[in-house]
Amino acid sequence: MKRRSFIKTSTLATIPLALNGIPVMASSSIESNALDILANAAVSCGKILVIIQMNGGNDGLNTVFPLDKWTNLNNARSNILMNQSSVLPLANNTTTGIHPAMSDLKNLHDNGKLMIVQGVSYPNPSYSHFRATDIWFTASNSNQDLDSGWLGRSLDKIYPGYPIGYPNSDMPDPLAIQIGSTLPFSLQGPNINMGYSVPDPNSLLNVINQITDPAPNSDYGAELTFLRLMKDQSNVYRAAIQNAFNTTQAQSATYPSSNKLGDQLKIVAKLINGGLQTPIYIVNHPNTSDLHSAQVDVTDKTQGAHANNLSILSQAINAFQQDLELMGKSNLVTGMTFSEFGRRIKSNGSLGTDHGAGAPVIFFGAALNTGPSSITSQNPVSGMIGSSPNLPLNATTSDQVAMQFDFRQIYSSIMQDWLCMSESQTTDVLGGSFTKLALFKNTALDTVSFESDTFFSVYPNPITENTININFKDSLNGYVNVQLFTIQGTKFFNKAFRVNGNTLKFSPDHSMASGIYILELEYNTYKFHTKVIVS
Amino acid sequence: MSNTINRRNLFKSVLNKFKKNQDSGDPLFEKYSRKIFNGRRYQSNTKSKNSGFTDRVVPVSSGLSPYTGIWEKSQVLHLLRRTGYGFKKSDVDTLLALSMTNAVNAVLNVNTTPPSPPVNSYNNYSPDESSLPYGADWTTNPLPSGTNTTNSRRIDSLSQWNFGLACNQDLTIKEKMTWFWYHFIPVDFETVRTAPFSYAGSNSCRILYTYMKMFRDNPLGNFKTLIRTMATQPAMMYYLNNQANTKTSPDENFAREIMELFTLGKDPLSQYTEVDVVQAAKVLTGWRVVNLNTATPSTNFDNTYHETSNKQFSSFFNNTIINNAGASELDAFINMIFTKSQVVSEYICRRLYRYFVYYDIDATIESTIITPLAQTFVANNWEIAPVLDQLFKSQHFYDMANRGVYIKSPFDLVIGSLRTFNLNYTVADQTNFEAQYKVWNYYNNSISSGLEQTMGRIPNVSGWVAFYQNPSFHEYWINSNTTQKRFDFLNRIFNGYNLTYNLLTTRIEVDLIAFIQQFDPAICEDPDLLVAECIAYLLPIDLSATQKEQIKIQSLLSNQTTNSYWTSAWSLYLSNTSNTTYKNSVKTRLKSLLVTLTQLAEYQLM
Repeated sequence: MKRRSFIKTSTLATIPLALNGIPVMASSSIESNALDILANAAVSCGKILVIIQMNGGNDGLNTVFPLDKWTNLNNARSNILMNQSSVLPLANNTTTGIHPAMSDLKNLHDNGKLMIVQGVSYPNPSYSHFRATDIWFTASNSNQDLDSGWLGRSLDKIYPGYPIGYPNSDMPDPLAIQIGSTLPFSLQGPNINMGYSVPDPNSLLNVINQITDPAPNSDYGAELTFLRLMKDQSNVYRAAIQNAFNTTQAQSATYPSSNKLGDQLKIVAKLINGGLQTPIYIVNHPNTSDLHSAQVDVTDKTQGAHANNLSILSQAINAFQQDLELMGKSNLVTGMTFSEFGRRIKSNGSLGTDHGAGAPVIFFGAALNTGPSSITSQNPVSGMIGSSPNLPLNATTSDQVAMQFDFRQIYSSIMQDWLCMSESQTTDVLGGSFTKLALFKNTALDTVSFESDTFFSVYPNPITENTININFKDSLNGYVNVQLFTIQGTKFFNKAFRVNGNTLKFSPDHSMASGIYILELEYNTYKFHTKVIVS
Repeated sequence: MSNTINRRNLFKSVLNKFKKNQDSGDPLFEKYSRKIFNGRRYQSNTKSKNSGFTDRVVPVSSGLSPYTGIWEKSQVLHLLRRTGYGFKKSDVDTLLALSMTNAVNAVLNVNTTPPSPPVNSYNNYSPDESSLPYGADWTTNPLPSGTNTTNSRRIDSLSQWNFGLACNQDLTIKEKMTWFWYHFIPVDFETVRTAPFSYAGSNSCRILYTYMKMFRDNPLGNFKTLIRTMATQPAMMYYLNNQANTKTSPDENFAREIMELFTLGKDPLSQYTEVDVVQAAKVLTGWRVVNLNTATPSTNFDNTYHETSNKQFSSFFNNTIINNAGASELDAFINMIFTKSQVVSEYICRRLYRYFVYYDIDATIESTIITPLAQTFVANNWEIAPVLDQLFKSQHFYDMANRGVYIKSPFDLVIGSLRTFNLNYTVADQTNFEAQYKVWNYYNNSISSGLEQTMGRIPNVSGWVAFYQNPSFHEYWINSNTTQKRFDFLNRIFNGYNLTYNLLTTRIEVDLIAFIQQFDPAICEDPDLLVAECIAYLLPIDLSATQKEQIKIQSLLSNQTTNSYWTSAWSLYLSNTSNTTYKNSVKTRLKSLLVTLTQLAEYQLM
């Protein structure tokens, strides 16, 4: 049984590990290990999701262009549509291009770090900002009302009981961080909002959006300052956040100036660099996407309000992604855009677009399922799931971009394939089963297994006293799974260990006869192997 | 700076009493309290650092002449918040319709009818040991000796009942004034309960009730009379040991405190001596609480225990001699204290000022406010009402420099928020006494307690440090333990939770829609007006236009910039209030708005 499935099954009717029919360990210890693994699989998952909220309904058709439907597109919105030649083509994708303001994202795409999911919507979509936002935030049906957010419920599964008993040694950091102030409904858990608002740690009293007035020069101001300081300083997470934020970064990317989204992502990057275990970050695009008018510049339709929004988005993401690469954590972070709906196929008379339905969701990161090996029936091309949207020849105001995927399929994929939640947890949170999309790289389990020298070594080797001592090059704080195989490939040992530090020491239950064995160690979906000798 | 060092040690030792796991003081508090920090960073340059407490950031020169400025909701809210706990919208409306003078008159027009006494709410889980029925008034029911469990239950119910009275207050100053007296001349319920005297153990509940009744039944009465009454209140007899004071072994506790804490104070003008304390103790000998185990305990004078010398006092008291005269020596003693009319009146007026206005009394305020107020006090023969009347009608009271400067005490924060947001602190079934008292208990004994203020409990006879402890005063409410709890309490009332007691579940959750519907319909539908109105009611000082805009965008508009999105959502709700989708759409945004506002540090000020 593949180990990944072993982790994800929530029932405990798991297969006991056996060597020629003899259990390697007593089943109770297997089960308790499994419980330990299950309970902490998500906790020690180590993956981070960054959500960029584009509030207002981003015009998907002017972001990701259906090059193969150009005539129809032009028929629908010639007053705002740029020349086809201005659209940036995407490598290995003849049907689709992106807005010229997003050249950085094109580069990311061509380097396998962008994934476009086409036509994301849900049945009976709402065209009201509030309602649609709530639907996306709560993962409800169009006719349902839920009082908690999908992220809130997910975090409640992963970290049950929050806030009671938190922070603790397993999870010393906030569960979710929003850079900004008002916490979004998506993070609302069953009892409490699971999020934490981080002001710019550079200046305690100012929030990125300048929402806090400076204290005036008066007794009122003095009392206010005192209260603000005490509030900030006594927050249980303050130390963790400050420490993470102040961790030196050997190299960091250059972020664009005057880009408020970049400013927010820069803070996120510093917190990730500092080792904060928070799995969810939420940042907000500073401008509205609700461009009912003047979406483009009349004289040059590659410019204008929408282009400006996309440029901000693209440059900020680019800097952020570079930063992650430089700090060596790009495999741990995936980002996604979010917008409550797309816009009408047909533009309006004010050089803008009105509320629509389906739109693309853009993912970015180094762990996406891109590259030739990833092409399946869902991905006609690398870097895109779904196909360029069908458009009627002469769209009317009642035509909408059709749904290809339900947004909850995206959530389902994220929860199971990125946040290490189980299928049953996912179904619970979403109130139903939604077919996953192949968003993320298949785990290294099926593919690559690395020689271990860079990650760990076994010493002494040959081992003595049936004890294996593993030394990790870097200090770890999480779970590793160790398997031992005979040279013929028979697995006789499979156990997960919590490692907090540089060493791991264990003995298989049965004495290993002299010979050569293979030790396989898995950490954060990466697999490493080395030979272990018993003399 | 030796004064500072001594005060620092004093502050540390006081804090140590109610700090749980702190080694020496609260590190955050010591770092940020501006007075201890000498205000260098967090305050504009002030005058001399060698004053015992720092001067006002900006000097306040307004005096006691009557306020003639605008009378709008900002002023009304200021008056209500300072003289009560939180406010009710309806009370704001009532006072707005009056002139300032009549509004203050209304606030001071205390109904002296005593409220219904506390009852046996505990019978289901702790049967009354003298068989008093569930729901019956226990205040006239003496307990036989040994019934200490029931006595404890009754004392608990007394605290809870007091909390309930504060929650259910009218627009007058009655409850807040009751707690002024308690904070100033307190008895700790637990200390009295465990006082080692016969019958006290089983009957302390009734004398504690009587003690509180003394305050509540005439909160704006005569101060000198109050001191005389208090001096022989059974609870005080036990609390400060006058019950044990005999001629053969005088106990100076009460003698000292009655001068140091309750009348003369410790400011520079108060120069009573140790000799005075010794003599006072002798004067006070002979009083004993009797008939504790009957329906009417009282304190009587028993000459057997009385010290019969002539008591010679110091030059501070003009070398007064109180001749041996039995019971009447007490009256003579109190008269003697009150001849120091300037000392007494100024001390009390400072306490009143600190409780109702602001702790920071600089030299200007001392001369323009305290001194004349004290003169009013003396001129009115120690009646409290004229003093408060003058204070609450003054320019100084409504001066912007005094607005928003007061850190809400835990009672202000908890009871205030319960009332302002119309939470269900009154349970649906009023015959379910157990449930009702337990709801009050939850807020008094868990929530407010966690913030370090509980009805019925005081750290020591000086009361709650925030009201008197130089140099930080009300900043003492805010430490690393209590700060987050303040914000958590507020967060939770918006997320909602259930309190289930005796099979009755009470939902504690702010009804967001009902809250804003207290405002004009035209205000509710306009997001700019709605944000402004909520700020006007909930925060003491207005926020900048920029900040209001940000709050509106991020909460009411879901990060959009178009006002009509809120207006449409609200109109849609009004068109069909039973539609869950419409309702949730507005509720989510209202919750965001009100949570944002109440999570601001500004909400902790009034």
